[in-house]
Amino acid sequence: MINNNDITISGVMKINDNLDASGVNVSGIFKMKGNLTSQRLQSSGIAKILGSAEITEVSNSGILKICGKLKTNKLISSGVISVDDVDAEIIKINGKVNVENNMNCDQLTIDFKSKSFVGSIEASSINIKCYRFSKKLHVNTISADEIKIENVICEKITGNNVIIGPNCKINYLEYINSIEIDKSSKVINKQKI
Amino acid sequence: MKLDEISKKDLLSITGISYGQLYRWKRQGLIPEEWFIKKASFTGQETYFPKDLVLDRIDKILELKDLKSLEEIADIINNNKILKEINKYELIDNEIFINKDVINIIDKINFTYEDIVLLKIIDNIYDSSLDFENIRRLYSILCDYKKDIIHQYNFIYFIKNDDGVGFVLLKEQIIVEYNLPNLIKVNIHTLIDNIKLLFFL
Repeated sequence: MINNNDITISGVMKINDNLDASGVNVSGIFKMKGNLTSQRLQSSGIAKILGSAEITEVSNSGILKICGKLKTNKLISSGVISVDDVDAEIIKINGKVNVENNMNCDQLTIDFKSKSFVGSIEASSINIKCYRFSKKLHVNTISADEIKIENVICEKITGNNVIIGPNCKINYLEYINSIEIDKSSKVINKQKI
Repeated sequence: MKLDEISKKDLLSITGISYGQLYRWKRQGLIPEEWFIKKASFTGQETYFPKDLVLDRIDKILELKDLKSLEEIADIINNNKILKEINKYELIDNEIFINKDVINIIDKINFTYEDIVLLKIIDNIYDSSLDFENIRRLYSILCDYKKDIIHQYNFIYFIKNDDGVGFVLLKEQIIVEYNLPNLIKVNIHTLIDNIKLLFFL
């Protein structure tokens, strides 16, 4: 276990152990094999964590890959982010996102720029946007209170107030309160519960 | 769907909580991740919960929510190193043990959290047919495995016969032919959580 206050990487760094730091700044290439515990992670380079991570605030504008679970308060990414599993309060993504399993958060905003994938989304409110109709976000299941999506291909959505924007393809949609579907979207089965 | 399971939408309509609340509690560890059982259904994937456990837990959270912050409740549920001690008479007053004799296994006035967990486990299998000496011996064996029981294992199966009691510690539930009157299953995880919520908040 390496203990340190603040680490700034502007070249190439590789750690074969766990890391406990108050802040990590990456503008070069950073790779670590263990778990990362930190207050902040700021990356504008390439960062790869093979273990899991517990970071209070993550901001990424480069490429960030976490092979294990990410636990965080606030996640802001405008580059490429790829994680196995995320727990967060606020997530703001502006770029590409790949989440293998589950994404659990309170407020989720995704504005994706290229093909993305999220296993399942559990949230309080969701806002997913994309201005290019050819790019899609694939999700298996979405469930939240407030849902507003665009360009999403999803197997199942459950929500309270659901707004399906343009270019979506949904197999099952269950809603409690209200629903709005854009005419360019396709919802195969919908049901009020 | 099994009888003792409840689907997510039924859970939300019964308890009146929102998706956001449910997921926040999951994030904070108030509702264990193992209780979210994902299954394929004819309308795509659906999440199920162990009915009694989850309804009980949500009731408790809703009840405590006004008195304590969610962080405080989560801290207690996720913390396994509690130092506070509980007085013997407080335990008797709260009627935590079904069998009143159980408390006499240990000669103490102040009980630690670990003591209470072990005594409550014994309380689950205690009956008059068992010799008190046997119970004392069982307690001292359990004591040796105290750390493992509290930190590692989730289930303990007791096998009783006329001479005494044996037990098996397991991480996951096993399927047992149900017609075994001498076999008693104790879910350690739930038991611990209930004790924490009762005494250590």
